[in-house]
Amino acid sequence: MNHHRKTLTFERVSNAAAITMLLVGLACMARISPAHADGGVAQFTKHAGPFVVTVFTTPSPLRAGPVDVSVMIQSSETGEPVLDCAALIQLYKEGAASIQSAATHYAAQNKLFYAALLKVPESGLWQVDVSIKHAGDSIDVAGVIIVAPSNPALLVYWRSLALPPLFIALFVLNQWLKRRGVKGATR
Amino acid sequence: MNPVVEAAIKSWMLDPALLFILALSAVIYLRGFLSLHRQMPERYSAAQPAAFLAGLASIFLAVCSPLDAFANLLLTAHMIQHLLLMMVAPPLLLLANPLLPLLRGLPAAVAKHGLGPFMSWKALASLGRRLTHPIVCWVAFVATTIVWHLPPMYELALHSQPLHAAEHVFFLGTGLLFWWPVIQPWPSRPQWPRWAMIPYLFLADFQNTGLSAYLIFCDRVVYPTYAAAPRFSGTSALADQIAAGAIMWVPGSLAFLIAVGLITIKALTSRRAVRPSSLQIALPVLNHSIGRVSLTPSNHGKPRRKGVDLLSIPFVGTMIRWRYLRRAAQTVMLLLALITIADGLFGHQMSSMNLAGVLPWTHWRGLGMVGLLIAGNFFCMACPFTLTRDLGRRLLPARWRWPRRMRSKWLALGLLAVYLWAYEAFGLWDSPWFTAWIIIGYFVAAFVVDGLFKGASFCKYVCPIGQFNFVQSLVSPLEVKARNLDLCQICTTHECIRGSDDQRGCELQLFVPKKSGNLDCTFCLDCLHACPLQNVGIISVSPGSQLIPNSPRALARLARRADLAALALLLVVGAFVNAAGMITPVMDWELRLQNQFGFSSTLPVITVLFVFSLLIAPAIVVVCCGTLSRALGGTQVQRKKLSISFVMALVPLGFSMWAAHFAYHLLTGASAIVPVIKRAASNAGISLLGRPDWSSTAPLVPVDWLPSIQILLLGAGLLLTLYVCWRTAFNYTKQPRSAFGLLLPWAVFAVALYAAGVWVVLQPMQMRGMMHSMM
Repeated sequence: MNHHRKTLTFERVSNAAAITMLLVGLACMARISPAHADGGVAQFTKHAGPFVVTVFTTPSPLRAGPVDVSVMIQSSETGEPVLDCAALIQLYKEGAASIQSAATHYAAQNKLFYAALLKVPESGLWQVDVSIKHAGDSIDVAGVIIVAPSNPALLVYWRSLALPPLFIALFVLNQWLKRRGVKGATR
Repeated sequence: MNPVVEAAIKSWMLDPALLFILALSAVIYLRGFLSLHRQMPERYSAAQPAAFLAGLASIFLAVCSPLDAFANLLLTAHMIQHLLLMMVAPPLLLLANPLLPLLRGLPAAVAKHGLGPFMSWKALASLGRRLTHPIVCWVAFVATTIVWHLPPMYELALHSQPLHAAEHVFFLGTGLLFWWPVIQPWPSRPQWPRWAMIPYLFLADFQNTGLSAYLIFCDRVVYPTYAAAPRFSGTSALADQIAAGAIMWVPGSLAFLIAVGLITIKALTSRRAVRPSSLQIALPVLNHSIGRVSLTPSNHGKPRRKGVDLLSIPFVGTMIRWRYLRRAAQTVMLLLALITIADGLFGHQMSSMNLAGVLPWTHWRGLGMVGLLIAGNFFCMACPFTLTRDLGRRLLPARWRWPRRMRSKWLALGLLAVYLWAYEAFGLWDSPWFTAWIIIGYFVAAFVVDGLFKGASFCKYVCPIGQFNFVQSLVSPLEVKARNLDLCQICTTHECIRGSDDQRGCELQLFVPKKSGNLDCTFCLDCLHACPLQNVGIISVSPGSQLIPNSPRALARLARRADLAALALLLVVGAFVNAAGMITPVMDWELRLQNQFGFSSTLPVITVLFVFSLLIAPAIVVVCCGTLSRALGGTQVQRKKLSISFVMALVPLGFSMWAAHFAYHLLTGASAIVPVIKRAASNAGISLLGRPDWSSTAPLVPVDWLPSIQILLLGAGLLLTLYVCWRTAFNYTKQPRSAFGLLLPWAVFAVALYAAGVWVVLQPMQMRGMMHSMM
């Protein structure tokens, strides 16, 4: 009897352990992933005037839809990040309207970057122009990025969409276990 | 401070979802810990919550701090992040013995009915036992460390945010597994003797040493991303790699060696004493937590706690009890309404620049839904029209009773249907002038109706906003109800409904002891102030529980309310139709139909579509579902009765669609209020607030979060609706097969509405009340 009780308790403890781990895992997975790039993939690095400019993008691979473009501006002499510039990011594509947005530290997670969230309407080869203003000087840097077609919306939001089926499955399992327990007890 | 260092220190990412989950875990743990500490102070000391909170803080530091922001630029930052997730957070969490506190900290019903069956499931127990076997734990930890540090895998994680998150989950998960047999959190049972943990840790340290030595002594940069990353800290990529290797080696090995030392010391100094085993102590606690037995005899005889009473919360309770709270809130709302009317009539007629185009449609609706979601019908509590109603009673006779034939929701339902149609047909949201006149009309109607008729006839039978709030508040987590029904039994004066000399009772004739749910409750709190026994509280209830008839009598009473079910159905379907009206594909379709039929405007098209989608289609669907439900469930219950109770179960889904829709407007347009107020003030000759800056109207959250938030809301609504359907079905039959048949057609209807809702939120939407077009 005592052994049975011990086993039963141990089973429950093991279950609790599994559930605890599941919860911790879900806690990490449930992070909504904003498009704050701050790194992502370095698309190109260019030397322009007194600066070295590196452009990063997220997501990877780059797809049509919300795209985070981050820029790091460094002094070409010291390598120190330059933080008091005004940066404007413009995207052009032949046959499509150009889009632009001011890149700011505020929009960036890593405050050494200037970031902007842009909505790229379609896939293809896009030219990125970064206009930098610093102490009265104006410097432009340009590069090219390849944007893939956007994923289907259902794929983009699969985590949010997966929750109802997951909970329904758990509920069905819960009810099955309850009924099995009741049947076992009445036998 | 050096500006670069300052900027680096400020690079935090406060992810609300993660913060919420960490905070929730802390709350659940602390709640459970306090309960267990009272029972077993020797087992649960203050060090444990400190360890648990430190563990959560380590996760927070790893994922939200500048370490994460710099992980793609500096391998050292990334390495510290990994160490926190593998070597710091897991042992701290496990040292807190989290199993029982987390279980005990959950609401009793969740632990008992939700987790209880899983906890007793032998297959899961067996899996748990195998998973926590030291060999499995060691292999999982070592394999995870090695595989994720292989350059191709590491690069993949650096380039993909989902994979990076998965990497963190693996590190944390296997970290928990690895430290499990080492710490052996109480009350789990060791599967190996304690001394075996010494080679277990040493072997793990060998692996750690090998990996870190490779990073240190390799003469090239192992991970190409770091070779290509801009260098700004004065160190080369190779130096950064060497530093990362050293961090992995020294603090990593220290963690293993400290654990070895502690185990050795404990083994050498422990005395063999006859003590009850951890299982003997834990068994009753565990059984109690999952609802098998009552824990202590002292629990017997005590009245069961029925939720949290808002009035018992310091400051909040005092505020709510303040007699003039409602008047103060109403006065503020009245002033806002008057300013809105003035701006609507005389201000700039562009809706996004006018208070009447922004306040009612973006803020009041959105904040009203937030209030309903987290509390209850607090909009009615602060309703500005109440003051006009009171004025009407003073100036007009107010002596007639509301006509008996009209004592139902049919009139309000008709008004709501007209409003929903007019909103779209005449673009009410886009006309400050119309909006102002609607508010004026509201004031006049409230004045006339309550000036002529007794009681709160306007609120109960006429006001469309009130009906909307009444129905949605059936899902709210708070309810005005008796604290102790036994006290109501001995009360003979019934001030809660009759009132007293200085305080009126419930105007809507809701008798507190018999009141079920929030229906028709305006949260006026007259009953609360009138009760001489102070036996009325604002008490938490399970959201949606008010929709489940808990007795055959309640079921029978509900089944007679066809008007209520029709109102609920209109609001459920209306939620989807109203949201669909603002998406591009539907607007294009309306235009195509207009051109096809040669109409001069979309008015006839919208009218026909609304009549069909709001009235005809739902009626057909409900009849079909009712018929099918009856046939599949094999029941003799009347179709009408079945349909009414299942239609009420759809309310949470409708609520979630309204919430998703209004949340969209609120989150994208809330900041518009600042320049609009400045513009209105400037028009009124007040220059104190400065000139409006229309470029400052940014959304409150990143725009790409919105569909996720909306889909999550819809999913929650669907789940609650399905649960209420399931409970409703079991009210009619105890046979699972028959219950499944009963609920199946309604579940299909609910899933179809959910799918329609998801489609709607994924479409490009009109940015109403906004100066810019982002979507």
